[in-house]
Amino acid sequence: MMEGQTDNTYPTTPGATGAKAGLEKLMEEMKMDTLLALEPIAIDTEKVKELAFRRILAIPEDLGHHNAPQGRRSRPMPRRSPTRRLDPTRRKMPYPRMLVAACIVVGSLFVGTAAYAIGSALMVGNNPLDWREKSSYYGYSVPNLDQFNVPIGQTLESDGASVTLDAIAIDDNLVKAFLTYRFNEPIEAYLTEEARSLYADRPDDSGFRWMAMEVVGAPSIDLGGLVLSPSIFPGGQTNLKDTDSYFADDEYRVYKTSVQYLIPEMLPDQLDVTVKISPTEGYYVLKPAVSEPLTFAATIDKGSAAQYTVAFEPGIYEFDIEGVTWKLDLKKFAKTPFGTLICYDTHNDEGLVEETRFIGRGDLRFFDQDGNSYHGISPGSANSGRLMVTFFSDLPESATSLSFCPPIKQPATHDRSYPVTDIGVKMPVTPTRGFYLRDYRIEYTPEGFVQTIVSQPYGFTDIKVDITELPPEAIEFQGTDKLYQVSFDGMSGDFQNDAGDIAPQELLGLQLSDFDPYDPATNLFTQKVRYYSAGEDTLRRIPGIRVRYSEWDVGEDYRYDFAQAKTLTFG
Amino acid sequence: MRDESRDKAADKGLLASLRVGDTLALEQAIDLFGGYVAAVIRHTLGSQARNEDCEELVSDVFVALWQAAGSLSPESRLKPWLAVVARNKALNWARAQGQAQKSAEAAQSLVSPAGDAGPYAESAIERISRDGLIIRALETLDEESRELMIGHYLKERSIKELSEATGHSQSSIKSRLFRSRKVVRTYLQQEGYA
Repeated sequence: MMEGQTDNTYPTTPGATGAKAGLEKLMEEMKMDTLLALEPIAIDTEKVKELAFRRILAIPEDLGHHNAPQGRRSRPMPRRSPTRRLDPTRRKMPYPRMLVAACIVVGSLFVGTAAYAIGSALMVGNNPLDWREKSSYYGYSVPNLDQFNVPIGQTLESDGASVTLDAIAIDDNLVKAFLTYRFNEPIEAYLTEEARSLYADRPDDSGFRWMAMEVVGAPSIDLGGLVLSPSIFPGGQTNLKDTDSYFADDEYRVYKTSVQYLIPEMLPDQLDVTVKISPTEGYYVLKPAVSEPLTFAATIDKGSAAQYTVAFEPGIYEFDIEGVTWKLDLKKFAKTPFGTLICYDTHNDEGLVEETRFIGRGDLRFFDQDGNSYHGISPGSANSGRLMVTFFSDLPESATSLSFCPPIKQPATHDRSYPVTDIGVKMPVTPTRGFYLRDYRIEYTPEGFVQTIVSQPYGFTDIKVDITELPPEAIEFQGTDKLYQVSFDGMSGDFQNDAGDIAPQELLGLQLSDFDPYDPATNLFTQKVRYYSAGEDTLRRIPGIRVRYSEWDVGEDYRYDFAQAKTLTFG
Repeated sequence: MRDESRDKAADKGLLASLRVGDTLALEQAIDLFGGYVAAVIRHTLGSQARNEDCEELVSDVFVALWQAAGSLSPESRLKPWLAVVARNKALNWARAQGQAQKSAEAAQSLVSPAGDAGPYAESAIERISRDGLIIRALETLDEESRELMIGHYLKERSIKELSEATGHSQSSIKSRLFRSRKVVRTYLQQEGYA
């Protein structure tokens, strides 16, 4: 008998005090039990997101008119003031000076030497927040470009390889050179042991493609005196993507790759074209495959080649960013069978950009007529100065126009934690970017435990800048009711702190971290941390581990100013 | 328990992000709960809704979440909230389709007697009471569980009061009530309430 209960009788007649209400409550809760026990069913979550965001973001009709399929109800998209922010309180936040470049601290993720991968980082997708698998430009563009290619077929020999310039595709806007390297030995022979181990664990043959990129470098192209080079603007190279290339044999000797450049000015039809391959050298190169410059020369009648890009008239577009006029000088905008490129000059100095809270070069948002958003990047030397080349690879055939509008930067600090047990879960760091958890494993070894986390970033515009350090202190061990928050003193190397039943020294006696750089072939970061003190018994007592992802300081929140969008209609 | 606390923390984080206008938090919510919300809508509407309708209703639910995030308690659990909103959205949709009666039957089918065309709120409770079903259902419970059910549902005692009276934690009381409801529901189903 419960304390305070005087009898074991109970009202059973509806209408008696509390009885009917109680029964209704019981019935309602039983219904809720049923609802809560339901298992999720398959649903097109991307479509749901699109529907939801069209309403929430109030995408203007001219940027995303939703044509409902027959029989389906069409959803009016509410309009609202373009100056209204999603969260009005943010406008009141003081805007901190940018003290450092964007810095992300991602627990259990190390980037380190990802710099090489940066040049190939490419964000595209129908959702501005997506990070999509890239296409193989060489592989898929050749069939599309057959009708546009000018066959060359010249072969030059060097000490370690013979190189064939297979073809050149050229029109008023773009030049693309296709090359085949035939190495005398398998590609591994040209690289140091360090490089071989660095790329050994890559999935598929991407490791070999990365090795080839170390050995090959990016050729320059001279169009009648206009030199297009990775190190010289204008142009914008896109060669440093392992997906631009492939090995045509199983021994990794025959390597096909391509390089492309925007052509920033009108050139005569008759062109002397030179493709120059420089000697290969570099930290990871054991011996060069090309020891002397190789120069291919051909005269091309550009006028007889089919125009394979759709270009737009250059022009200067102005945006009012909080009272300051911000100019975008559109130099070149070309839609090609294998991608769309834009080249522009911001005409703004850095101070003005910062003061006006504009997020900076390269962060325009592009939308097609259906509201699909594209976010591309072609970083590297082309980013230097005020000029910017951006590349999109998957603008669909259905796209008939492209609009762009400036995002407005807002200050923000983000610090979030996520359990690392739900594979596939999206882990936003800011409203615009974060990671997907792709794999998580703990392995027990005689020395201790090894934790591996594989994450896939999305929404980053420049990984080299954005992710500068990924220390281990963000790992949290989740106890029964407390978190084991492990801090790490980078100077002394000591681990400090925490709460819970398990002392941190039981967990972390010695830490070693292995990390792979960001792999553009898979869009993954892989980090492995070895904690050599905790045994399996200790770890079994920890019910969960989670990772803290944080970002601070740089105002990576931004909104889109749709009211100022400019639209380019394809011809 | 671990999953419970983890889910609670995750909900709290999601809600906090939603409240500050974090669009990615909404994406994450859709990723996490979209399938579940669709299940509630499908459960409520049965086959009368097409997939397209279902998707639109699911999106409606998450737009509602976005709009309501600022007013929700930081401690709110998302799944129950979404379940209720999804069910209500589905019912409203069905009513708009001119099938209110039919949908109401479908939606309230949990404890409605088969063939009972009357509004659930009256008929089910009345019949359960009239037939003494609830008494017999409660009598299938052990004494302590029965007293908890009576105390909470028929004598309107709060979880906290029951916790203080019994010395059990509030979460323990909730768990016992949950298990008891399951027993009662099973009994009612065996007695012809679908």
